Amino acid sequence: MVRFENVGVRYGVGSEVLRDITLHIAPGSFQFLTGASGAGKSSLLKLMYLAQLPSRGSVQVFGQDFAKTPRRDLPALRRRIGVVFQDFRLLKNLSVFDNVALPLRIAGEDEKRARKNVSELLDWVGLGGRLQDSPDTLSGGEQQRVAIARAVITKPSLLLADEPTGNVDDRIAYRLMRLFEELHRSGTAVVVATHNDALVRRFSHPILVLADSVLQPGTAGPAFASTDGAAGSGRITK
Amino acid sequence: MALPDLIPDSEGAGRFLPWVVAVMVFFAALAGAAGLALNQATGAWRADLANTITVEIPPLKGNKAGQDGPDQARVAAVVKALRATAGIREVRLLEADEIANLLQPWLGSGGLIAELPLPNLIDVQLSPTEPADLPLLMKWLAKIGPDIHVDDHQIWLGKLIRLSQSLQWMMLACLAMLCFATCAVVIFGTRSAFAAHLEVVKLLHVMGARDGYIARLFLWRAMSMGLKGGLIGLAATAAALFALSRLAADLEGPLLGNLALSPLGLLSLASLPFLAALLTALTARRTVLRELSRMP
Repeated sequence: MVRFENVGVRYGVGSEVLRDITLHIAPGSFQFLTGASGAGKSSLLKLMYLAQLPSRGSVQVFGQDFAKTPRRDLPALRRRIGVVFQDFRLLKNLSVFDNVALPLRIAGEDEKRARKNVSELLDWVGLGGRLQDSPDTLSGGEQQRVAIARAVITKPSLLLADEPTGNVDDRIAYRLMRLFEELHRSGTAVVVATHNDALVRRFSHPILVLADSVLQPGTAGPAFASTDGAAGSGRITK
Repeated sequence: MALPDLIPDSEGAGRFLPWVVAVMVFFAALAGAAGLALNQATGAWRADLANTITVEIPPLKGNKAGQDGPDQARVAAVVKALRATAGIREVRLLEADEIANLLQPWLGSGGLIAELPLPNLIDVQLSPTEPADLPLLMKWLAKIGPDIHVDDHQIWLGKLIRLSQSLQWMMLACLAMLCFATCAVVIFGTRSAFAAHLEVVKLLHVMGARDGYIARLFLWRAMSMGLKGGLIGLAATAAALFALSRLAADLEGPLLGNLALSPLGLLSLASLPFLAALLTALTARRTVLRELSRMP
């Protein structure tokens, strides 16, 4: 589903923020991505959701080489990826309903079907009664649930979450992780970037660890049994 | 599905766009009105003078206009020759009073005009269907008197038309510069709006929005502001033209009589806000597409 080969990312003339990244995310897998702040987690996710071209190496998503895919074909690939951000990125001038419906509208979906799907999904995340509310009137946890609903409304094959629990308390963070697990059970591959080690330890999923711009086998959780690379190789496969 | 309102038009430098477009449309409409009026006036002058010639018979020494004698004999001979020429519809000798009236703006209404040896003038209307042989006519008239002059107004009309056409080209150049300036302002305003809404644009991009979808959001926003500004500019132009027409009516000049705009001219001016909106929208779209092409 996602395959990186010796990927490096450099912004401007500075040193590389990611070096020699080689990884494979299998369809339907669940993967944590951990590392200290500034380790390059967001840059790695940007490569996965096709918002950043690698400076070197190869990034393949759904079997397509990012750098070689014609620009006009990229939107179709992006629609198969859902993204959840730490700061939610909900649009303040749209209602909760319209925020969640936005990816469907972009994809040109039928309005009637979209209404039904959005209402059902907001029910599922427990916000069925807040359809017409402004995102500003919601708590942090509620806003993040709206953001998750928006990310999965198109039934993506891959869901990427960049510090999704960074702005909520531990109780809400645990509930959000349960939502991700439900999505994973329905067949969506999930990658959650977080620096919350305590939260990671509560789940038994493989962990990718970024340190010093390089991907390494992690040290937390039983998931490391499933990595096939030696320590320091940067190769983690599920 | 309808486009959601993701790019509010009251943010960034873009909120000044309607006023800039209003000023541009105001000047464009003024330049356009002047160009159209000149074009119309030129056509009218050309039509008025195309089938007219004037024969000038200078007075012989010692004779004054209107006096009997050799001059009158020459005039009678010229009139006879003119009437005998094919393609001439009407021959009319101008009265001394009419000639004096023509000179009055330059020489005043005193007795000076009566003292001058003025030529006799014959106004000749040519047939619009049967062309007259003017070179042959000139030969005949030269036999009556070598100093007799036939003025077909082409020199005067040519100069006037050249001046008018030069002015019209200048108006067109003004319009082109206004279009250029409008495009520059729209590009600046769109880039500013794009930067102000960059997070929204990036989000839409990540969600899989095509460039055309994002560009359309800016296109409708720019078109709405362009149309708003254009209508304001047109209203200001209408007020200015109304005031000018009142001032021109007071002059009662023979040249200004043709400056009223035709219905087609008025329709052209009325279309300016829509053209401005279209120009604004297309420029905004192109600008956004260029900005988006820098994203992967």
